[in-house]
Formats: sequence, structure tokens, C-alpha cells
Amino acid sequence: MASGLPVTTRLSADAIARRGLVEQAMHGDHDAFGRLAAGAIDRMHAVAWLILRDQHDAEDAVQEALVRVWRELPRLRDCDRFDAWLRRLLVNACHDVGRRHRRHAAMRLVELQVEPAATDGWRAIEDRERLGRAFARLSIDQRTVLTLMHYVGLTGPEIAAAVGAPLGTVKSRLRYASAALRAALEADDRVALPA
Amino acid sequence: MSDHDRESHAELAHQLAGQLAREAPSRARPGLIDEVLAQTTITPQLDRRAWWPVVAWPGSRFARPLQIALAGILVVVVGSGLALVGGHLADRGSLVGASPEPTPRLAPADAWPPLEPGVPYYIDEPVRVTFSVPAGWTYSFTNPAGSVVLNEQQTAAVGWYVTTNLFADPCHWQEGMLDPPVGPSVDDLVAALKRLPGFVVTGPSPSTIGGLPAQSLTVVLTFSPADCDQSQLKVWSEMPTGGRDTYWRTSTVRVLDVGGTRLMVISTPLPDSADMTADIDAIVRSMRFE
Repeated sequence: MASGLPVTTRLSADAIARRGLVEQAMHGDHDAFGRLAAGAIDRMHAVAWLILRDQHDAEDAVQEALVRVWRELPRLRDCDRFDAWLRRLLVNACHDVGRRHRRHAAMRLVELQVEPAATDGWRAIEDRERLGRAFARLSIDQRTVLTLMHYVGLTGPEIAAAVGAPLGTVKSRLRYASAALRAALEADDRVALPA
Repeated sequence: MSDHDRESHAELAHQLAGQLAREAPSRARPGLIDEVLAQTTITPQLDRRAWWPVVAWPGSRFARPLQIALAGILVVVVGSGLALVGGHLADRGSLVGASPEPTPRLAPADAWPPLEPGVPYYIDEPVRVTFSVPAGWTYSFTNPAGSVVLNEQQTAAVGWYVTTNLFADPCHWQEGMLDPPVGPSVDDLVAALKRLPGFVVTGPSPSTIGGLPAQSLTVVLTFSPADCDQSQLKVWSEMPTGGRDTYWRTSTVRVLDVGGTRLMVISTPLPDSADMTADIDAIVRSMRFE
């Protein structure tokens, strides 16, 4: 239930300070931008790595996204939408980098497919690796929606805003991504079965 | 979906959440933030649009609904006024026979959905550019440096970029950028491009693009980027990551001033590809700047 208090009094001190930083950075304060970027970069890097599965690609995506944030901040319409906007730019940057490097990604996929299966004594580790391999085989679009939902913890509408697609499209992407993950796991099972 | 399917789905989601949390790196490389800050130091911010106010909703919980309601009333009032004026003009026959220009669509920034031939598109990076493409030109990409459209085979490109400085040697770019940096005018950049080591640059010749005066140069690369620092070519400071040497093998570079923003329009057909000259000319002719 709403408290009835003015919105500003319900905001945490952190949120108010962060909004202040966004406003300062919008007006060209590079130090304020630096503090915003430093506070966000670890999380951005983690998300980019999960989507792209490559250290260098993830760094490229984070760098592109943050440079774009700096450039475009003066045109941000709503300071309180900064986080959602940041996610959108990061997802776009991941997709740009992913497309540029898709040939390399395909090569990594081949390498993944010829990895030997783990031994029975390492069952728990094997299960985790199996899931990791299956996730890595998904398309960037599929990894993006699954990462935003299961790692970042976004809702469907928030994912739609981050990827710039209608909610219905996001729901179907999530459905197909889950199905593709299952299919990849089953394919992995078939590869791991003894002849 | 059956109960079993639901349970199975929830179990997979749970496992995946755990897996992603385990796999995700906890920290970015320490030097990454320094690289970002170094790059943003030399990257100019876009101008705020004067008519586009910054929104920082004030404290009152009534403020936002009130502003939305006022905006709605404004739309209704203005819309009614326009309808009345429009009806009046139509009665006088002044608009009879006029065919409205199609409204440009925002071009997809991440190459999906594909561009459609003949449809006017616009991209706001780094300034608003309206353009259309012939059949077979399907991709558009946007990044902090600017924007580019490509044909389906990615054998030809037309890109437009803001350029604040050039590397002193585009092949050995790790040695640094021009110091002092390129001056702010069109002529300054043209003069610096003319001096690019390792390139044969002809021109400039005066031309127009989108009705604006431009200086046109032809730039031909004379070496293989494979021998360069990190096997990459880097010509200007905001050049997209990856150093697309393809832009510079044989390119036409037009430099112009768009309302105070210096823009470099680069058109490049790749060697050994089908002749794309007519397509490129059509795209360049269609470009308009705001």
C-alpha cells in the first residue's frame, strides 16, 4: 500500500545521490559520469560476458555502451530511467559486438562441441558444465533474454524495454530460448552417452 | 502446460539462475574503467535538444499525473486547431492534389529488421540523417562514432561519423594521435586527411551533399593492415572498435559541416565486389541532414 508520503521522501539516499550524479553527468560533468560508470561497470561486464561468452567481446561491449552513455546523456529524457536506458545501450552494444565477431563465436562453438565429457566422479561439476555448454550454444538473442530474466532478475516488460522489442516478442523469445536450452541439453546428453 | 511441465520448467529456471550466478565474472578488469574514462574524455557529448526538457519528476505524487493530463489536454487542443485549419484549407482547395511525403522511419540500430528499399529512414547518430537505400541494402548499424548502412553481402558501405582527431600514423596508431589535434573546421580535417601517412589522397574537390557544401576526397590505402599494430587500422579517434580497414581501401570521403557538427561521410565499395557505384551514389543523393 502506498505510504502517502511524497515520492522524494520514499527514495533512498543512494537513489537521490545517483539521480544527482546522472543530472551532473548530463550537463557534462565527467567526474560524475566516472562515478556512475565505476559503480555500474562490474555488473555491466558480468551481463555482457554472460551474453557474449568472451572476455574481450564483453569488454568491447561495455566500453562501447559506456562511451555511448556519455555521448547521449544530454538527450536522456528522464533521469529516473537511467538504469533502464543503460541496460538498453548495453544490450545493443552486445549485439553489435556479437555480430562483428560471429565467425569467431562459431569457431568457439565447434571447440565446445569437441570437449570431452566429464567423468562420473564429477557428476555435479559435469551437470553445471553441461548447462553452461548448452547455454553457450544458444543464440545471442536467446542468451540475452535468459540472462536478463534469470541473472539480472528483470520482469517481462523490463526485458522488452531493454531489448527494444514488444512484450509478446519477448515472451516468445523466452519460450523458444527455454526450448532451445532443453534441446541443447538433450543434444549434450546424446554426445556424452557411451557408444 | 501440465503440472509436470511447469515443475520441469521451474527446475530448469532455478538451475540456470544458479549457473549464471556462478559463471558471471564478479569484477571487470581494473584497467577497463580507465580506458572508458580516457575515451570519454576525448568524446564530445551530443547537444541537448532545446525543445526536449530534462525530466526529473518533482516530489509531489500528483505532479506526474497532472503533467500527463496537461500534456493530453494540450494534444487535444492543438490537434483540434490543426483539424480546423486543415479543414479550412481543404475547403479552399489549396491542398487538392498534394501527395504527402512519407514520414521517415527510425532505422533499426542493430540491423534488424532489415532496411526496405525506397523507404525513407532516419538515424539520429551523430546528427539526424534521413536517407533511403536501394534493394539489397539491408543493414544499418549505429554506434557512438556514427552510423553505417551496408549491402546484404557487406561488400559496400556508406557511413557517417563525427571526427575530432586523427591518429598520427593509422598503421602504427599505438604511437598516439595528432598533437596538436586537428582543428575544428572542415578545412582543418581535409588538410589532416591529405597528410595521412600510407594513403594516396586526391582532392579535395568541392561538392554538395544533402544540399550542404562539402569537400570531397578520394582515399586509397597503400599497405596491408595485417602489418599494423594489432593488425588493425585506426584512422580517427572515434573509429569503431575493430578498425574496419575496409572503409579505407578505396573510399570517397566527404567532409561537411551540419549545423556546427563536422561530419565525415565515407562511401566504400570493397575491391573484387560487384560494382556498387550506382547504389552508393543513390544513397548519398538521398541523404538529408538536420
